[in-house]
Amino acid sequence: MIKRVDENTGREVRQLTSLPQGALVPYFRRTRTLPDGRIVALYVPEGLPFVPLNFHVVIVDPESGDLEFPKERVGSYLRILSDGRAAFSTGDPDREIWAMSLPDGVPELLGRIDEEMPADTEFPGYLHDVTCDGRTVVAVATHIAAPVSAFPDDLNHPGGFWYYIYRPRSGDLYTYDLKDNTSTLCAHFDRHSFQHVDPSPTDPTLIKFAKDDLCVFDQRAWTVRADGSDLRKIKVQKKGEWVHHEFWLPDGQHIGYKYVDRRNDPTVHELPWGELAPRPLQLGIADVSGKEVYLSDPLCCFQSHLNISPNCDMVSGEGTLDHDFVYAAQFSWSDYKIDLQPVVTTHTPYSLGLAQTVDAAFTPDSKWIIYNDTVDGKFQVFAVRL
Amino acid sequence: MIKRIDENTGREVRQITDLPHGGRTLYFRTQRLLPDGRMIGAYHADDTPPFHHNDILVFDPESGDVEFPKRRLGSFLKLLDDGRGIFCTKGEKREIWAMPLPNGEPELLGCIPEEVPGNIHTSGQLHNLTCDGQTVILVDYKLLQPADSVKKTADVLKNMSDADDVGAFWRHIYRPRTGDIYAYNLKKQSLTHCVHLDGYSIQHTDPSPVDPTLMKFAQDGLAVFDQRIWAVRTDGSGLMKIRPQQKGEWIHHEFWWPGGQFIGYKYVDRRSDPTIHELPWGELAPRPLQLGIADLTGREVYLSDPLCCYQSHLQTSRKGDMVSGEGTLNNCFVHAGPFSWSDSKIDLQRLATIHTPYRLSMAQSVEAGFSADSKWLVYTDRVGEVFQIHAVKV
Repeated sequence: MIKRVDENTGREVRQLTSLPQGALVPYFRRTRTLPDGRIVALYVPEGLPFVPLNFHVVIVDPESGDLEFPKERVGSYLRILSDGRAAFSTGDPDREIWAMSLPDGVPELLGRIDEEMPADTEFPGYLHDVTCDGRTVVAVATHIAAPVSAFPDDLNHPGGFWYYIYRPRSGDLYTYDLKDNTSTLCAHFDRHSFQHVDPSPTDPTLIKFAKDDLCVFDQRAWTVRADGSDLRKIKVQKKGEWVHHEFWLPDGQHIGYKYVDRRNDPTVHELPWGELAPRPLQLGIADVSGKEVYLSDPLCCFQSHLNISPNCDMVSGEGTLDHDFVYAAQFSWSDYKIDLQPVVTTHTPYSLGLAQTVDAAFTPDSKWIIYNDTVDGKFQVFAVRL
Repeated sequence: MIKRIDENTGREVRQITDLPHGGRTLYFRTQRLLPDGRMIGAYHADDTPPFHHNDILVFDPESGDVEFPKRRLGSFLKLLDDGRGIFCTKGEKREIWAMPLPNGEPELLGCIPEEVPGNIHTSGQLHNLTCDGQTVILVDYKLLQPADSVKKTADVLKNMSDADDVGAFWRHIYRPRTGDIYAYNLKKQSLTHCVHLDGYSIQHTDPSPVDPTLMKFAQDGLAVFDQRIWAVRTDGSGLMKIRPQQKGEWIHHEFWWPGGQFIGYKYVDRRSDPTIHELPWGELAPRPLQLGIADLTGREVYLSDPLCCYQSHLQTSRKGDMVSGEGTLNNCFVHAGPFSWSDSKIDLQRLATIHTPYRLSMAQSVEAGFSADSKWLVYTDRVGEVFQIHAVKV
């Protein structure tokens, strides 16, 4: 562990990893806290390409700075289950789902996904998640006419951006019950596919997901039951209301999201990127019926992601273009003002739309925010003391 | 000729052609007046695919007479002021022929060597010819996403005209591509690369009606946020914005004003319009259409008051004393009104009903234009399932 004082905020910063190929914490909304309070991070052993299929788990402890490497890798990390074990996917061709207490419990095969379950053609081998009880796999099959959806060279130009957004595709959201070996088509989009498939942290029958569009003019966040019933809009959007980067609150009864009111905003086409939009960011929260129950006042600046602490008493933000900081503030349901303050500088080069892969989240005791930053061209995992 | 009274305007309408595969007026900005006052149109012979302007006919809106040239020389390119039609043969040997219409003696003006960029069949189009008949303008269009190139044109057009799928419109608009303009002098047998565009290609190459060294062209985007109209010399010099646009000013469907000293265009001020992304189609835009005119320095010298409704195309009479419009969605009429440089009000009135089904962006293929004496407005309308040439008394 390397300790230093942040050059702008004066806070204590701990570089938790110094791995040769780098390391990072999972995507901001993914569960990552073990029952003992330590945090799951991912790294790639030397000699392997730094791609998700090669990610191994490393467990970090911000307080002590200790790292622990599980002896066995059973697959790609998916999530922490309700019982505290981590779920893994072996991917193709075995398509097995395993559960294991980290770091070195005995792996248990939860099941194998039938070969006939459709595969994703846009991101081959990508499996989205399992429900919190580890019983039901949630997967997406995106159908594209290759190579139309090739990633554009220039997402920083409105033309490249919209050309990519409107690539011809359709998508299916499936669930697969590992005990019954049955699959269910839960949702289908004709001109879009699915992003951010994210089972409830408490309800094994409930899944939220996002339509994979910009969704300034469309409905972004949805929930559906694992049996395909009760497809529901979360925060029903009016055209121009932009809802994105949704995430479960720890209670599983609420869904937070970034909200930008771009109704009557003439710049949407030329400035589709939130960080350049002339409208402020707000934190919205809906209940599981979809009704908005909280909408903050405008925040200090756009944030790549917002997240909330396990105790629901703090909000974190990931800064944005020209605001290269991790932010944090107190949160109260009764107060619409969230006074986000920079807590630590981020050094990763900024990319429009893609931001900085900060993926900040609080530790269970809200004493630390764990996040990614770049050192010598590689991601490493950091903690900043609050 | 079939005469009738328009069911909505009460005006006399003449159906000039009654051909089994139809007839139609040429694209609105195409020169179509012969020196003797007659006009040219296109028709579809039994053995040619529809909508290829290979076959030219000559008609008189006054008498209703139609005359068919006896010879077919290739694809029609242009009508010169002296009444000669210019044609290009297909195939590797691209011969450029001139023939006084309808039935004069053909003259070979020259050939375009195979190595000259731009292909009439595939990657490019042979776009036009300068007014002296000496320089061919070619466009080379390259799609950088192979999958986009396999889409059928009909599918693209269908998607672009589906208001429920605005994504298909923008996806087509932003397909990665490049465009180049070349000028090939038939006498000197010399090739000049005039323009290159990255991210867009070229539309509407349109040489000046009076200056054989000047052409205008359009960038082939929607160009609400980009510069749409440009002029350039055939030697590649003098690239100039025609009516420099501010972001949100939408200029399109430009055309040479008679005399070749001005360029007319449709103008829609969509600055600060929050509907641009969802309603890119002019006929659905919440902003009014105006007629703008720029001089050859690019400076706007005329801007009308808002017109009665959006118009698929605007055009002027040979004398510049009348303006025509082709109507739009839910205003399916050809329109006309007097024009004066000193009056910004243009009172377009409905002259005749258009019966062609309307498609967003594609409109109705009306292609209206005045007769030489401005007594008739000539246009294309559907009769049953077939286009035919019509004229309405102005």
